[in-house]
Amino acid sequence: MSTTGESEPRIATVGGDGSVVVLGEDAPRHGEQSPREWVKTNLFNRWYNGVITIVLGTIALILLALTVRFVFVTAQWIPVRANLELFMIGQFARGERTRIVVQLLLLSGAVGLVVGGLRQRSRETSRLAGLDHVPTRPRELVGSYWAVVAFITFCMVVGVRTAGPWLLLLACIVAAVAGYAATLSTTRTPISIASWLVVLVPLAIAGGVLSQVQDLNNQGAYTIAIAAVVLLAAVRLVPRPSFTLSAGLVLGAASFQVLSGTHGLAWFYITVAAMPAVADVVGLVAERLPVVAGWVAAAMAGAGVVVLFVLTGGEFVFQAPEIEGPLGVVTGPIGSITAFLGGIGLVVLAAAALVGSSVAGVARGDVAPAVRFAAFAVLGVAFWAIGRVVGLDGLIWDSWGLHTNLVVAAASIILAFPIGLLLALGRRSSLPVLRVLSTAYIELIRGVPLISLLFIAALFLNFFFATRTNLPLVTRATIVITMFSAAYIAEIVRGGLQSVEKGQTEAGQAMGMSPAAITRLLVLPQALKNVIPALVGQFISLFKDTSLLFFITILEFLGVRDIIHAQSEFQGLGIAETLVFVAFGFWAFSFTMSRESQRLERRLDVSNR
Amino acid sequence: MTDTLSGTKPSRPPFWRDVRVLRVVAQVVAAVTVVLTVRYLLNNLVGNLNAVGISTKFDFLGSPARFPVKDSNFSPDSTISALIWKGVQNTAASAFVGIALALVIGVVVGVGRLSTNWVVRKLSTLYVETLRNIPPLVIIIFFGFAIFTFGPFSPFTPASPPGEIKFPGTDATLLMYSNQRLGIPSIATGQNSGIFWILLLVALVVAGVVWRWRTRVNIDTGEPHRRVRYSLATFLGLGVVAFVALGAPISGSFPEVSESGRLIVGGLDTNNSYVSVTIALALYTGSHIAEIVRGSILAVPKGQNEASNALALSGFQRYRFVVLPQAARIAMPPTINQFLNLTKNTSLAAAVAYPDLTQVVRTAIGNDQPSPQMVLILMGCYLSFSLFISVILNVVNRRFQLAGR
Amino acid sequence: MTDTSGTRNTGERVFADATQMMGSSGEAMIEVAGMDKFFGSFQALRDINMKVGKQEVVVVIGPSGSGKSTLIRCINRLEKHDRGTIVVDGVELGDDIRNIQAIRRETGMVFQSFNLFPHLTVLDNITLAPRQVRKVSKKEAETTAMELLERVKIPDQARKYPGQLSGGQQQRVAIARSLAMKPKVMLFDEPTSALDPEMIKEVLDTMKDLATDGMTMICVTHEMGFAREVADRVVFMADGQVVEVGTPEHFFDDPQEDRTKLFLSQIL
Repeated sequence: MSTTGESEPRIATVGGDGSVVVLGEDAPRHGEQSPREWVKTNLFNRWYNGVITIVLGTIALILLALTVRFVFVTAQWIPVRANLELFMIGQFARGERTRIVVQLLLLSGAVGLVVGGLRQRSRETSRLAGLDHVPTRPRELVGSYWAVVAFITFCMVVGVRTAGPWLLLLACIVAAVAGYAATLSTTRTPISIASWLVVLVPLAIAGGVLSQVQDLNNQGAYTIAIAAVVLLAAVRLVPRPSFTLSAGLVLGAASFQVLSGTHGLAWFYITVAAMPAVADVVGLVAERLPVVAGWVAAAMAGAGVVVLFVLTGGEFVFQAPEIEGPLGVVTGPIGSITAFLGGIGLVVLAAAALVGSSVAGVARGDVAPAVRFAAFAVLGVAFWAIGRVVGLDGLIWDSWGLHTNLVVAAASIILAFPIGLLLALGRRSSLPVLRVLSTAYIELIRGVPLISLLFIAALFLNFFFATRTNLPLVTRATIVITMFSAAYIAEIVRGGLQSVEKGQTEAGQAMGMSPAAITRLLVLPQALKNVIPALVGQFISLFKDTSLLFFITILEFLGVRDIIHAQSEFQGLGIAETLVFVAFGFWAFSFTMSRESQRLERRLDVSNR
Repeated sequence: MTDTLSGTKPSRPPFWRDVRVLRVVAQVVAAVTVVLTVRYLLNNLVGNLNAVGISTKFDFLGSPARFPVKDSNFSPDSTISALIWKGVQNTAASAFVGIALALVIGVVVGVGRLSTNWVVRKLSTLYVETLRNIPPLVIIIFFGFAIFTFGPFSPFTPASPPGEIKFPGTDATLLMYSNQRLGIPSIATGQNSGIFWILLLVALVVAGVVWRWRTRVNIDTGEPHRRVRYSLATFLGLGVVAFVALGAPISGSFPEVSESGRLIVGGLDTNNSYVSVTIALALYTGSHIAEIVRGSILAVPKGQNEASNALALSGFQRYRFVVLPQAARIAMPPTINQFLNLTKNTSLAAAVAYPDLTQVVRTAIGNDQPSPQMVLILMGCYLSFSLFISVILNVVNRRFQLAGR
Repeated sequence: MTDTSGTRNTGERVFADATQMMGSSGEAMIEVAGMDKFFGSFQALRDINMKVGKQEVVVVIGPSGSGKSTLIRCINRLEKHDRGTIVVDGVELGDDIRNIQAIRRETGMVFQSFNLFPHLTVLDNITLAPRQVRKVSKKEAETTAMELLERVKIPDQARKYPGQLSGGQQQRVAIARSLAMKPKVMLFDEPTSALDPEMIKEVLDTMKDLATDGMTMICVTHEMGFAREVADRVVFMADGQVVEVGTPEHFFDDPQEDRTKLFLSQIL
């Protein structure tokens, strides 16, 4: 094989020494040539490359040897081993440990559902469009997930001396498989029935076990277990993508709520998570409903909103707000703004908006919005009631080690996304005032380092709100991280919006669609699909940025080190080892996510053909 | 038929359906909402600050700082504004050197990722995939504590002098290192040094003229211009003449341990926190720039290479005149963005107690200066840095992008 | 050719005035009067006066940059005109948001670059607007969509994505998509310019069928054969002005203006 390859299209680059060489897009593969040829092309194709190979190769081997020696011989892993739990969940209250177990199980189930749902959808789309479905190769998965697996294995091998964590790991895998299995097709073959048992039996057992655990109250455990089984059954029996999506979202929201309690706005998150399935069902039946049903639904929606505001909104307006959990972020500002607008006024406004759009829809002969809002109101009240019955109190979720990093990052990105979306739309708006305001916010935030915002959170963010609002430090930190991420997400989304051709909007306009419908149905789906990899990248960088919580004395993954080395037995001992461990943890998650986003990008490329 | 035309004067719709009216209303509503919200928040802030007795004025800027700044002549009697200026200088010192290092690392590693040499390729990939997935803060702390404070280097006390690397065969120190301080050689100025610098400037101008002359020759006659060789020779020749003529106006200054055994005299010395911050950020940002460089080279369309081949350009010519200019154009904006990121990331220096802007502001707040004003100043400074770098970005963009489109 | 063309050929020829309709009923579908359009300081359209009768087919031709596309983009408000009036089916197009939406609902448009929605299947592309704008039920929208796909002769592609179709098929889907809104007027903005030669015919045939069925159409096109065969009137534009108007026979065989003669000599 020629090493210069002038005959075929190739990409010119510079060699390691700055000289010009030419190579194919992929480096020559093993399979195409003998090992001898491979060595010649890849290591010794020029005299200077030979020298580089020998020099760098030697250095690399020495480094490798030193690393191996460090990890297995000289390193003192004692501080890590003795404090592994501190690294993972920090100073999580001892009596509340079960909540983390439940959270992990729910989250695993949600992951299984979402992965299965995505696979189901892509197969279905491919089948209808007559495209070949490209299944994911195991090799690709290994290429992404080996880092996280290596980190978990390292933790298990180095630090775990009891059976508990191993059992938990096993249970999580079972939950994920259960979620995945629920999305498999419903043909009545023996295999399908067996997989059905795989879904239900462990869940029933888990529910029974949980109900006996003392520190999570029995009602809470029962409710969660039953809800999970019902959801999986629904997904299994109604093989509609919307059900799978909703079930995944509900389980995900519930896994947050296990920690942040069932008071406050818990009902809201769960209800929103259920909406895709509700909207789907409403879409199926709405056309057959008489107009009268629409009026009834509109009335129910209005009444429901008022009831919900009296039940829960009132808490924020008239009492000191109860701020719980990562998503309590929303409640603080809402509490203040509600007080600002005079509480009742906002209730009336929200009810009027919902009822107004419902009525407008019914008047046009379209009962679907009214029925959707009514369903939202009814479900909201129902979930509120369930939450009251379960009565699980929230935990202040700071000082939880790696858990805090992951939760803060996830909560911030979820909350920042809608804000960023609006900012991006504002920056692309044809209205100059909106454009200027959005641009000013985005550039202001992007121009300052996150740490300066964290100082605000730590020192005087509470002062911006009415005096009775006293948010916990970690909630304040989440607020500023959300504000920070929103600006970056806005820029990413703006890039996506720019990538959608102007003709798409024009085609929508030419058919008389409203600007909102054009944005929602035509522009955003294409724009967001184009920027998924960039959004994952933003999440990675956000996850890395959570290490900055270290500066405002929140006990996150990196900050745990300070506590460890303050103990007299570990003073000055294993400084490098704990740092390597922390770096390994951050690296494993970030690396896996970035690999997954690259894989996603390739798949999207393929489907865009 | 023209009588049926409705004239050229369009009728006005009612205002609630008039697009122009609706546009104005929407903007007024947005503006009023934002103004009211901000006003509400600021009122709360001022009210709450007054309630707890924190000043809302800026007159503290003239009062003394009451604490020293590491490694500087800053005295505790100096004012807060002087303190902030000191912090800005330290931030700039770290950012400037960090950017230069990151650029070098990024280009070398980025190009290395596309090398034909398997070892180079794999090592570059390893570097990029490792460094860019670790938080910069962790890297800074690793350098500060695992490598310096608790690392393998000797402490700096009279009993244990710092390690030294000499220039081969001489007594002059190339590098002096310990777990606290580092020293490198620098230039010491003697007599006539001022004239010497001026002469060097003149030499530079002459070299520039030579450069233009050679370019002209190449354009007029087509013979090779060899302008790098000509200009360099002119500059060095004039420089050596000036150096000899003025009787060695400058000389090298080398680090040595002071008599007390606790300080470095001569050369340029610094503490390990500066080195930790700068090198850690250079390594981290370098990994990002490497990805940009690689992506930019790969982004040059294949057709460009085919076209170059069709014109029988040599490998070097193709790279120099076709691929590189296009890749540089693609790489420029994201790279400058990385410079901005690095500058903002110097705020993490507080973790190793390097007295950059953020750290001095933090210390001042700890010393009872009012936090809202201090943080506002902090953000203002970083905003100016960002503005400065985006202005550069825009200038560069205009020069590079317009030429091609 | 429409059945009335024979009688109209004997009519008086009006030059540089497009207000003389040739539609069978004599009722105006589109009336444009004294319209100007600026892009910044550049005047793209200058005092356009034009009427299109019901079921009339008007073909607009002219050199590139003459304002043909801008003209029809003004008619459904993709561009905002600066002076003059536009009335479509009795509804005046101005700053009234209700009128804008009403006119867009009644006006179908086919673009040079198809502008199909790549993230939706062919069927969803066609049913989207009826479902969203006309609030038609899903079942009804899909039935109509399948009928339209039959009409443009690609019913078997319904579940595919636009990216899987050829250019000609995509443009036919775009036509079906516009027809799904049951428009009273169809605007064609150089519908065949982005197509390979072998696909142009299938699109032109679809357009001819439409004309035969009595659709009111304004077509910006470079297909002179199409203009000659299908148009009731041909409008020639240059530098943002209507230069000459006439029946295809008169226009192609006996042009009056020098600009027209020059243009025809360059393309024929």
